[in-house]
Amino acid sequence: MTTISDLNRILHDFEDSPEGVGYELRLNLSEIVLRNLRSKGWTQRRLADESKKLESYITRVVHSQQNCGLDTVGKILHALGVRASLVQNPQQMSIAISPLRITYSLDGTHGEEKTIYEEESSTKDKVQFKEEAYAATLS
Amino acid sequence: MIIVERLFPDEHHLQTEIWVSDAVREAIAQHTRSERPKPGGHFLKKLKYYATGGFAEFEGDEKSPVRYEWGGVYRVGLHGKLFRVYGFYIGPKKLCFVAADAFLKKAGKLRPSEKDRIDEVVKIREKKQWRKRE
Repeated sequence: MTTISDLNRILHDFEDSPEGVGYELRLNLSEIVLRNLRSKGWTQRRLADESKKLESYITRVVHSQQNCGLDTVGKILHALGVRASLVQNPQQMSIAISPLRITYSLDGTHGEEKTIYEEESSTKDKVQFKEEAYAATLS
Repeated sequence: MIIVERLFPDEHHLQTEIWVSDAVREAIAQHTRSERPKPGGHFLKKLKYYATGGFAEFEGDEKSPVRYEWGGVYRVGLHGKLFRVYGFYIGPKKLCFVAADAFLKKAGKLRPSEKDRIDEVVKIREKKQWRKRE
């Protein structure tokens, strides 16, 4: 009999694995792409054309199923007019897994810049951090 | 009557609360064991991701992760995968989702037996044959 605790443990183990860290990055990229597609009113086809990638590739990126290289990420974000940086956590020395510093270029001008650092290592604070990071991507 | 229990009970920032039946818990666990690459957990992670943004944000056509089936029942799945969770929203704001059944489809198109299972979920919703285990 599988319990809720069992599922939580599975999720926790996954999130703590290298694959989980990578998957979270894919999710973050997907969210940035989706958000900007919506704001621009672009289709995935349009982004594919602008970034010179196949539409099926963009679809896999949107669904977090594409493991893409950083240069390719750069092409996609550039096509969208978005800049995003990975910021290494200064205390844990691990990859910061949320879009911590995103500078949007809107209408040819520099948009708002957000920087969030994960300052504590406890689980509770991680959750709080993720909430803040998520909220930042929504704002 | 099915009893549903809250998934991710410690995550208080989710836009959509997910309540899962025993069958869904077992199906997700079984699916996770078969996921590649190891370790499994992609589906659970994505489910939490959708819940964080709110299921309604991800509703759409057949390529969307959350799609309306019939009789008030929606399915949640990953693009390119055949594992599906079937359930329904509680309340007009779609803040709570009751996942009543889950299974791995045999193929892209639903088989009659799989449609029957969705019909069962429709029945559970219509007759309110579910309750929460708090």
